Amino acid sequence: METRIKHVAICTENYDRMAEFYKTVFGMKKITNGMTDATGNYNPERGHISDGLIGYALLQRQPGITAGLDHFGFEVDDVSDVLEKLAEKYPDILVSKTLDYVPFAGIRAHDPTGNQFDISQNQMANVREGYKESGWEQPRRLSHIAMRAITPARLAKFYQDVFGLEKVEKLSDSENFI
Amino acid sequence: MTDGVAYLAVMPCDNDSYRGMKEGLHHLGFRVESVDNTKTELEQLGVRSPAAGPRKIDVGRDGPIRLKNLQACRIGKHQTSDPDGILLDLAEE
Repeated sequence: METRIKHVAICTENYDRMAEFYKTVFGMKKITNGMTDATGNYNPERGHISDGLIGYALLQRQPGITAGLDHFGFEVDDVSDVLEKLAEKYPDILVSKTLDYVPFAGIRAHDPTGNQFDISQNQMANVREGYKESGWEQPRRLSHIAMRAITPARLAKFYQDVFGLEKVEKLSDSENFI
Repeated sequence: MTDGVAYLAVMPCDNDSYRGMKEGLHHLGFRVESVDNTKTELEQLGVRSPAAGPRKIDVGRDGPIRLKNLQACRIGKHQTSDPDGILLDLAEE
């Protein structure tokens, strides 16, 4: 199964400032048009940005939502395969259909520690705009997403089992960094 | 772990601080063509417009622990943050 990390989302109260930072420092470009703003309305000036490979959603922080890193997303070649693995090996994991206006993914789920991720497949109906395109190469790009866990090996096994991610021998050990 | 292009890294929680015991997404890392050049640009951005530049990580009582935890990432070589304080690290590969 082909899996690609394709999406990261941050909740912020400072969309303009954050978008400008990532565009200025890391060369990101806008790839979708329209996101909800602080008024709760659809704002065509906002949009997801990208480094050419991974889309970045700067989501408006609304009341009751914590600011900061919110979720990330995978694109896979067969969502049904992922769902079968989740059902078979991790039946307690909750799976939800994503909201129709979300431009990246069709499915939302979570890992055993509660980190949420989207699962997308290119042919899904709601995948649109920049997320449907092949992207571009640029010198600065997102290279990793890091999470913390009380038992890293158990969490890593989840991503290996479900998404087929591979351990990087030169970086990893069995306890402190996987 | 990797998908062949990007990494998903899992680091251990600890009890050096209350925050250290919390599971969850921790930081984002960027590959850049030059860490030195990027550091300089970030410093200049912070001078030009402090609110639009990176926030200092090593502040407050937990600051040294926060920085140490970010430095524990084996991929990143330089630690910084965005204007919201999202932790970032930079590396050249």
